Amino acid sequence: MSNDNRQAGNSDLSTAYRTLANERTPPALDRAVLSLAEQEARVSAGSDWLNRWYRPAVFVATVGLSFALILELSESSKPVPPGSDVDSSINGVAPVGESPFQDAADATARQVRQLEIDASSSMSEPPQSMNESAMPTNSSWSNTGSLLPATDSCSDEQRANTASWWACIEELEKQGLTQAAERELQTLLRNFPGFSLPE
Amino acid sequence: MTTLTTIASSRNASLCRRDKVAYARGMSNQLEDSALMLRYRDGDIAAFETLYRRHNDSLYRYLLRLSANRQTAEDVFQDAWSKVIKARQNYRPTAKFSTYLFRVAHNCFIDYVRRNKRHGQETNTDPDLSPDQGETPEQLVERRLARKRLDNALKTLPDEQRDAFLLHEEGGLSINDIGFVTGANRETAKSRLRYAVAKLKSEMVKANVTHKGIYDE
Repeated sequence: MSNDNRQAGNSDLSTAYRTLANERTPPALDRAVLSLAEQEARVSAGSDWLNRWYRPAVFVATVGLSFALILELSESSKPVPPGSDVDSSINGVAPVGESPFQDAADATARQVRQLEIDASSSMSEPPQSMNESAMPTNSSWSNTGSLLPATDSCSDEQRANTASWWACIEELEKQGLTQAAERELQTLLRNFPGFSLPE
Repeated sequence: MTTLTTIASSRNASLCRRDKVAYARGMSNQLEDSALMLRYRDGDIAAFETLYRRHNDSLYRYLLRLSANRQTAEDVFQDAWSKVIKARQNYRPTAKFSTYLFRVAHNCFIDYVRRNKRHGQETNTDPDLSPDQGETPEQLVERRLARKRLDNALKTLPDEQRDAFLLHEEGGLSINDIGFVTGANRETAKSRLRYAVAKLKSEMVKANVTHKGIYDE
C-alpha cells in the first residue's frame, strides 16, 4: 500500500515522466529496511531504559552510601557506658534486640576509641626520666589503695563509676599529671554526659 | 507537430487537477512526516513504516535514474534508510522530511560513487514492467519502449542537471531545497533544473514520448 507521494509540477514533461517512471521498490528491499528499523528500535528501547535509569540509580546509590557512612560515623562517636565495654557476644550471649551487624559496629567503634585513647596517652607520655621522677613513692600508693592510678591513666575498675573515676582524676592532679588528669576528665565527661563536677 | 504543452493541457486537465490535490496533500503531510519520525525516534515502529511507505518508491526511482544501475540504486537506497534510522535520535524537524531524506540519499550516492570507481561502467535499469489491466501486449511493448527512451533522454543530461530534475520530480523539492540537497546556491540549482527540463523536452519530442507512452502523431 504504497502512497506515491510525487509532488512535482504539472507540466507535460512531469506528466510524461510520471506516467513512464513508475517503478516500485522491490519487496525484498522493503523487508530489509523495515526489519532494520524494527531491530534498531528494539535495541534503542533497551538502551533508552538504561539511559533513563542510569542517573537516578547512581544518585540513589550515592545518597544511600553517604547516609550509611554518616550513620556509621555518628554511631562510632556516640558515648559508650564503661560497663558495655565487655562484649557480651564474646561469651555467646547476644543482647536481645541487637543484630549481629550492630554488634560488629559497636565492637569496631570500641576498638577505634581504645586506639584513640592509647595513641593520645603514648603521645603525651613524658620521657622515662621525667616519668620516674614524677612517680609517687610506694608509701603514698598505700593510702589510696585500689583507687590510685597505677600509671598516668585510670584503670577500667576506676572507670566503672563516676565516683571512683573522679577520685582517680583528683589523684592524678595531685601527682602533677595534669595532662593525664585532663584527658581522663574529658573521657569521663564524654562517657557520662550527665556528670557534674563536684564543688 | 503539436507541442507537448498543448497536448498535456488539452488532454490531461483532470490529471493536472489530481496532481494539484496530491501536491497539496504532500504539503499537509510535512508536519506529519516529522511527527512520524519523532514518534519513531520514541520507538514507534508503525510510525516508521507509514513514513517509509510514503517515500520509498520515489526515493528508489530517484536513485535508480540517478545511478542508472539497479544494483547501485538498491545498495544506496538501503544505505540511505539505514542512516536515517540510525540518526533518528538526532533528528530535528527543522526542514521537510523529504528534503532531509533526499539529502541523505544524495550524499550516500556521492560516497558510493567515490568508493566504487567502477560505477557507471555498467548500466542496468531494465524495467521489469508488467502489463496493466486491459493492456495488450502491443501496448506493453510500446510502454517499454517509451520508458527506454525516457531513460536514454535522462542519460544524456549532465549528472547535476539529472540530479536536479529527479529531485524536483521524485522528491517534489523546490529550487531552494534542490540547492540545499546538492550543495549549490539557488541560482545554480534553478539553472540546472531549467536546462534539464529544456533538454528533456527536446529529447522526448524527438523520441515522440508523451505522457501516454509514445507520442501518437
